[in-house]
Amino acid sequence: MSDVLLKKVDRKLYSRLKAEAAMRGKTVGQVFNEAVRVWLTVQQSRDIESERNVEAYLEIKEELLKHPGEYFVIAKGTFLGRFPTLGDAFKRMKDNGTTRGFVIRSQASGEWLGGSIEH
Amino acid sequence: MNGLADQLNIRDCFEAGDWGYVIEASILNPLHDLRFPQTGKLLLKVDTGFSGPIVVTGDVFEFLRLSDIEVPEDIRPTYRTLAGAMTMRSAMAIVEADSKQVEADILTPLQGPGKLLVGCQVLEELRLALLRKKTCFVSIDSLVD
Repeated sequence: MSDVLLKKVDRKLYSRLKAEAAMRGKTVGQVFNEAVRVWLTVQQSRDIESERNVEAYLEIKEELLKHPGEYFVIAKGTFLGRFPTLGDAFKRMKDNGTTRGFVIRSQASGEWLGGSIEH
Repeated sequence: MNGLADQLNIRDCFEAGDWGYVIEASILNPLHDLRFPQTGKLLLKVDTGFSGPIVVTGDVFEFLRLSDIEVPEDIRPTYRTLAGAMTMRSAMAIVEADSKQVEADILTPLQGPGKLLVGCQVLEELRLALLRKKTCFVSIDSLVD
């Protein structure tokens, strides 16, 4: 174990962490280690899920152009369907218990000339 | 007299700043039940030179957790500008303006801080009039949506 100095830690957050740790008979360092382990695991699983989402997207990519105006939803590495409204697409994601993924509607690129780009 | 001016009902108006005409709006991410700003409204610059929907700064994009649902890298929209092509990150959300909800792509530049502006793709869903130094939401009696 090593001693680490952390800068720019939220004071209120740190106070809460310290209090919660004390209530559970743990040191701040022990709780910090636990929290970091959980955070790293979550990040790792998110990366894996993102890769699976990209694979699922590549499988249905051709379909996007065939259904302009519809919303395609991919989450948890699976194509969840295409929907006529954004509300329906989000509802499907919520029903599936997910808050991350691709919500895609075929969109054209365009132009941005003058105006605010210079200001 | 039944001219267009007689049928024009002016609702909310917004004073133009030195940087140009603006409107007030909010952006919603219904998936995460997030709204920006949380209270009040956001000032978006009216940019008729931009053919796209809405551009926001990177921190607004992150606040709304739009990075959780943004489109894959290979279909990020690109806009032609006088300085060359500009690729944008993009995610779907709801824009609330003039008591209307519009489904729109929310964009933020891949690089750089970004801006807060509304382009033609969303402007064409709204009824706006530029009256001297004000932008006003209007309705026209003889026109039905």
